[in-house]
Amino acid sequence: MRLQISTRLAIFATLELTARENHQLSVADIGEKYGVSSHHLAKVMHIMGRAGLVRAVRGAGGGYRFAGNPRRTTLLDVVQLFEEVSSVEKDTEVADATPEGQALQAILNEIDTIARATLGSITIATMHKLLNGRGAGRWRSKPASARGRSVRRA
Amino acid sequence: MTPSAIVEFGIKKNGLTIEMGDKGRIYLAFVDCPQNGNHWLGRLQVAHINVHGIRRSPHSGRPRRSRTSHDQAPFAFELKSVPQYLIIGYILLASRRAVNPLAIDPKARAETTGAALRVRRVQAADIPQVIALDTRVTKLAKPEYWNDVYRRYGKRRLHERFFLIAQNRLDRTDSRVLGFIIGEIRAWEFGSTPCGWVFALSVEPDMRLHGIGKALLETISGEFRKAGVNKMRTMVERGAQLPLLFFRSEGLMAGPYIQLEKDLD
Repeated sequence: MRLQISTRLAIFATLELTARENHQLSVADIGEKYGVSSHHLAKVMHIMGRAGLVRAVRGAGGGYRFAGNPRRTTLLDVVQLFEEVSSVEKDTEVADATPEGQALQAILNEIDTIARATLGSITIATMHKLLNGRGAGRWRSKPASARGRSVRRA
Repeated sequence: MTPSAIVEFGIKKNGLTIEMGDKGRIYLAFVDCPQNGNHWLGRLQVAHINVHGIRRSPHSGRPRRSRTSHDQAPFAFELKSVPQYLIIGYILLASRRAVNPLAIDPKARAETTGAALRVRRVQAADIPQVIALDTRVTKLAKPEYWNDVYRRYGKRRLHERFFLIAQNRLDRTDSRVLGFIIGEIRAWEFGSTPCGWVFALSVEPDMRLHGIGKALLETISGEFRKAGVNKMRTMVERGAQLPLLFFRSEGLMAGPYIQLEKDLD
């Protein structure tokens, strides 16, 4: 499963904003860490703001704050703002109506169900436990050359 | 005044022990303390504690350590043989009747309330409560199943089978079962090296988010570890978000197995 760039940025921004209580960051702060333009990140934050997950703080030194509950907000809540975790095609083709197409769709549905259950079972607080808890050493930053273009979009 | 710390304590006939891990101030005062027989168990909710002045008390015991009001390190002190107990201004002295029935402050953080629990092996007298709790949670009474589980996991091969229950540690007369967990060490099933399987975990619905499930899971993890295994597994229905969230928050990740099934026509 591969998440869209905007989705990944939204998750990263959420993690940054919830790293400390009442943490406030600008899009430039977050963008710098993940190598993404402020313009792109601002669009992501706007969508999250409309969903009530973040709140914009105006004025000098302004930025964004997380407005949800990290122990209740799951990765699925964030992901669904940007993409659908589903392989069901909206425009059904003739092939989908065939037994072969239906059998294939049953398998894809199984994958979707597992993906949704997984994303829906991980809260933002749990993500921080993964980052900071035992075995956190495995999440070391890779050198920039090894990161590739997965997030970079400037 | 909002208490800044919750201190568990027990007063026995011959003394008082208070232990805490939060900063604050103690204001000395004499307070009549109700006593039931040889034991008086309850909980203090302490707003401000300052150990200055403990030595001024005519009944003062020997503070093991004396700290300043700004010291955040845990401390403890003991008082010996006091008919009236030296206690503290700005405290709410919670008797069994005064606190909520389970003596666990709902505002307390889950991390701290785990300390108010006693996790022990199940006994035959607990089984009716286990059945009742399971019935409340699953809406399906299964007394025969639970009696059989007790025979198999509560009495036999106890070195590798663990049927544990959680109770209120602050009040030993409170015998209610607040939650239970069952697991066992299995080896070579599905080609797996020995690992601890948790196959049942239930917590009283009204008492969730108080650290009971966490305490049970940590206890059984410790038992598994002591028995020599370093891996724990469980299985959760995909749609059961509450247990999924719980186990995930405790660090469990997807394992190397995929559960498969088919309808038998």
